[in-house]
Amino acid sequence: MVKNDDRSQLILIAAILIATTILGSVILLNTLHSDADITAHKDSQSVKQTERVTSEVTDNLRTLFFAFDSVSEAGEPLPYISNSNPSLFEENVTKYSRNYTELSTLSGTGVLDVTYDDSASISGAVFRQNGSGNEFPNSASPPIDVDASTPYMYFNISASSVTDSSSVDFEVEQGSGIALDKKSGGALEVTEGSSNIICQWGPSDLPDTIQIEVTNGTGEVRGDGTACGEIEIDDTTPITFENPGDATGQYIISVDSTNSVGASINDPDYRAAFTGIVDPMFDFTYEDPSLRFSVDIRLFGGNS
Amino acid sequence: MSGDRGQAYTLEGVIGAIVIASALVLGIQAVNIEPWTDDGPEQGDELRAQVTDTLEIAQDQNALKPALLCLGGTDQSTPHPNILATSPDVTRLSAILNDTLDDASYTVYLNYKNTSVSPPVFNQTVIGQEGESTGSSVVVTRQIIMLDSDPVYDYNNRNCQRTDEELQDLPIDSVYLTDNSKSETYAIVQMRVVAW
Repeated sequence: MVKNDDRSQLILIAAILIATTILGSVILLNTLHSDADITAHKDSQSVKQTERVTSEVTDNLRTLFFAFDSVSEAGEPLPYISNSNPSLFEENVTKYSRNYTELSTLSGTGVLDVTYDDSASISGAVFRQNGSGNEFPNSASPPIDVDASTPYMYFNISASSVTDSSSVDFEVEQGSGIALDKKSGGALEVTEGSSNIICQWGPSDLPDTIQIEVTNGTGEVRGDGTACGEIEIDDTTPITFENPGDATGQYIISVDSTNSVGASINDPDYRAAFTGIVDPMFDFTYEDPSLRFSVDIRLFGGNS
Repeated sequence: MSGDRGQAYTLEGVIGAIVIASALVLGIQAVNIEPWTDDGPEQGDELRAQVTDTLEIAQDQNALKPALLCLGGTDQSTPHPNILATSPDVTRLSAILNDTLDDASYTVYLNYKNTSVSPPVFNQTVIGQEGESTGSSVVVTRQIIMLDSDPVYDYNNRNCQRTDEELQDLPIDSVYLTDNSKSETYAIVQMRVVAW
């Protein structure tokens, strides 16, 4: 009888020891493992949120920049602010920053502070065509120098107006520039340089309009707003319209003041030009309980 | 003497049972079953990314403003409740949301500052039907700058048609936004999408 009591007591003690071991392991693992997971997840959410806010604010600043002076002065959104208005623009950016934070704190904890830095912004001129005729100038002179640092270049071309089937029609700088080439059979190609095909459409899927948008040397080609290829400008390329034929559309080209701007401003082939800030710089800071992110954002030049 | 031993054995057994039961309970709680029950913070990440990208695409394609300025809602001054209706899609925004979030349910709110009163207040408008979340939900916001020159749209026969008017042309009481800037900026609207 004594032997059975001892056995059962031994079994009970073993069970208690096993249970205590399990308890201890659970407490230890909870302390070491879960906290790291939760912290890493919170940090990654903060980083993603910061990326999203940076992209959203940059889009909004672009909208503000395009509309601030040009709608009243030129009648359409253009990428410049008048040299006489940087302080007013600075006020509006500060106001936007305050309004953004007021709205975002309704459902979050992030605080935004963005200010306009006039001393680091780039001045220059904007050339554009949006007249009733919409025909592109032919070999207009003097040329505008475009290179990888050109803030902004935009073309919107009617695809059906590119009609020459035997040779390249509508070129921006022959040979090394951008060309729209209507092929025999009705296909249309957008090329860069002499042979690099960026986009092409068959006769049955031609878009109505083709957009080419380049900021600081890189950009994309779109057909009816849908992206189809990327474009890159490496060298200094004088912009002249070579062989535009009967192609119609609009263009906006902004250049900084280090390029050949002075003599071109009053050139009637380029329609009206507007001088001012063409590539603004913003100081951006976003802060939430987990992190603080500061960066200088040049609107057409990427972060620095 | 045997009575004393019995009491000691009983006490030992009770304490042992408590320790074993506690270990079982805590051990089972330590197992994370959220991945199997489609619950937990990681499950919302994918939906949040999807909604964020959808709103960015909608803005890139200029689909947000034509919907937010298609008036005809409460007092005819807020966006019409049908701007997110589908079958057929009333606006480009409803088409984008319907195509990309077809596996999720969502409610869209607009938050904006009313500066016509003192002190200014923040108003919220829900567009269309306000759904009720059936599980863990995500909230994604996007702010849009409305300009004086933005065109206004009129809801007519399940279609938002562009009018000749601009936002700056509308009388104060006929639009839910207030012009709080002397510059080309009219107001800032926050679109808040709650998805589940």
